[in-house]
Amino acid sequence: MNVIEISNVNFTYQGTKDSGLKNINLKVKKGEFVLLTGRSGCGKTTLTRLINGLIPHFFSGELTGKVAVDGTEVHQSFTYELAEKVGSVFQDPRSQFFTTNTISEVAFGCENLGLSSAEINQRISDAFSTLQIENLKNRSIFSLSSGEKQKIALASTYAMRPSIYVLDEPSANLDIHATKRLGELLKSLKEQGYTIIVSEHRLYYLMELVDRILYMKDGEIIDEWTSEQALALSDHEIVKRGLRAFSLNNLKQIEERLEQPFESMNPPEFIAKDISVTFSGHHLLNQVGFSVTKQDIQCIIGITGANGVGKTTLIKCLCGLFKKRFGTIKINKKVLSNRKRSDEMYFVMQDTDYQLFTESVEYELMLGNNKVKDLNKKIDEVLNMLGLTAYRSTHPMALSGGQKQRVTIASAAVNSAKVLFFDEPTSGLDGKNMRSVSRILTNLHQRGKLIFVISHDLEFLINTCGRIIHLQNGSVDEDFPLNSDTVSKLKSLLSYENSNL
Amino acid sequence: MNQELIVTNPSNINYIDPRVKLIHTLIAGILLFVVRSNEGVLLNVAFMIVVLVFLGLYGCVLRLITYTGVLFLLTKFLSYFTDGPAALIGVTVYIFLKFAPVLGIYYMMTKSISASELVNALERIRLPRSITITLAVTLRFMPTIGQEMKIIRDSMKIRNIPFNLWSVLKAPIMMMEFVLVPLMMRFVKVAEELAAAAVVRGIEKSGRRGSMFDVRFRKQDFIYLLIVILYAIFLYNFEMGVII
Repeated sequence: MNVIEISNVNFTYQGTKDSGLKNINLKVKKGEFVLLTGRSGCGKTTLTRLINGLIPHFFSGELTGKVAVDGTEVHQSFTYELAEKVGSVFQDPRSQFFTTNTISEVAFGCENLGLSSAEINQRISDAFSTLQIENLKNRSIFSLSSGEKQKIALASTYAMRPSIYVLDEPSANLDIHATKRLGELLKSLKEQGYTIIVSEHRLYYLMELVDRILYMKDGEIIDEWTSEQALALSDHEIVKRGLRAFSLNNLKQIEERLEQPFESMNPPEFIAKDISVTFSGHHLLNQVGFSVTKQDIQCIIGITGANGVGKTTLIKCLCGLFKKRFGTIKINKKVLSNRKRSDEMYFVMQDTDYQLFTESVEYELMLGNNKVKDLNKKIDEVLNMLGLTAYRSTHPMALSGGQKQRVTIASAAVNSAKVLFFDEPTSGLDGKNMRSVSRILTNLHQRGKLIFVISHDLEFLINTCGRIIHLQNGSVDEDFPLNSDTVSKLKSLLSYENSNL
Repeated sequence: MNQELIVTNPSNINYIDPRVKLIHTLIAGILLFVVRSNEGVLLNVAFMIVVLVFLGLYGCVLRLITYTGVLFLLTKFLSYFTDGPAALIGVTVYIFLKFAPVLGIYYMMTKSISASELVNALERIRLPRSITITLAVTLRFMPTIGQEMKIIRDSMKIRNIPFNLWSVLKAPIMMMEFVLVPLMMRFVKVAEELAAAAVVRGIEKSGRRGSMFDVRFRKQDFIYLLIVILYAIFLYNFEMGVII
């Protein structure tokens, strides 16, 4: 029996010219697990919105064709009727919570449905026990990690007892371990017979579960694979479609990167010694130290470690944003004060939305860079290198996620700072954008910048970095060159469950 | 700020219906205008301390005592000056001291009532859902604004835009733009996502909303209300000089 039937659907969002969806035909049987993938902006999120009724009830636009869920046409049902059939989990766990406590959050949907208090309490305890997240009961939402938030989001839809689950990039903000746990939760939902639709960039963690993979491009469904067929695709096929890898087992470093000409590079020497940070008596960082000298292999350095281990705090200390710390930092053998450090170093933070202030890409690159020599020439050069020349006068907020990310990187490139830090530059990016960030960082590195990247994106790290500094329990736990022999070591470090969490 | 909102359990003796707390807030507001003497203010704070202890909000009790204590000593100290800027500051401090009970009320309303309970309570007093949900979500977002501001400040620092008193005085409009542009962009995005999340979780269903707890007045609610009213009458008479 088909629980979802979409036939001949075309959709255009109000106020846009490009069609969001073209000629979509999709039938999903009860209990099926369907994965939607494709580049950013390919229409996979739009397709999920057809199923949970956000189109046409919330996002308006021009819709033709027929969408039926459970035999009823979506545009004829009320949103709350659909809410009982289709449970939705979105990408950003921060913006889907209504209350500040995990229990009342799970109760929220049931309360909306007007259930009796006995029934609501029954469903709450059921949701926590079935999803095996009893340890998250009665916690403050603010104290949860991204992975835990995503589990609560799933639990709060579970409590509404839908028969279909729609998840839109649920792993975008999760580390490898949390992603794996999410995969396990979805597996148990599948085993209970629910129909599941997931739209994703990260594919590897779902390969055992999916019945069908749909590849979308420009609003159309182009390819349909089983997981065996998908795993058999060549690297070339995957890269051509702008996808991420279907499996983490066969990831290889890009060989051309290993053959870079080193002579032209002259990155600064960098020494951090005994960096300690204490938060109310608890050592977050305890005498962290590492050095990059002329004798070391010149490469981009990846900083890894479980969520909450203090990676971002470390970077903030290094570049002088966070002042309460101990230890010394030397660049080219000189100890630098806080202020000097913020001139020498530049930090690209995780969320691009907070880092764009002006009304055009060009102004954005000028902002704060007025001390740079030949500023205009440099801006031309960087825009060209990052493929942003066409967007010179565009408002940054009108750009796509990947383009915004490139603008923040561009302003780091224009800046005179020699040492650049990046915090999770690829979270939520599709394969093509991820690879382009990797190429850009490599390019900057070849021009003599010393680059540190915080990331838990294995595919990206392997593509980009030549050395890994792994933090654990507040200090440097592992520091090793990344090559074909150590890739498996990196993988096991990233998948390791941190007992602190 | 302690952002934890504990899910309260109505079977506990110290669970007071949010509607009763709303009435208490109203009465406390009126009492602010009744009270004129320092002793009255201190009595008012003392009563709020008792309430907060009863509700189990010990951290808030400590903060309320500190706040009142510091302001009270300052008022005492500044009252030796009769003119000049010190007297002016004295008046300001005194005004802040007078509003100390409000801090207690604020703690009571925000730390002992969860958003869901508040929505339910407001709905029972027949406020339309468009108001109740907006209010609940706004309350939910207060702490988030602080967090977002911190990230924006950091990212301004990296871009060599200093954010301090001097730079704000020098170019107030520009500084406002630098803070507001990213903040507004975030809000627009968060507001849309949040509204969509509400829709897919059945917010548009009309009729009486369910509740995790069964909402009704209990014995302790009446006792609590009675005590608040008796206290208000006592304080009124105290201020009018009937009982001294």
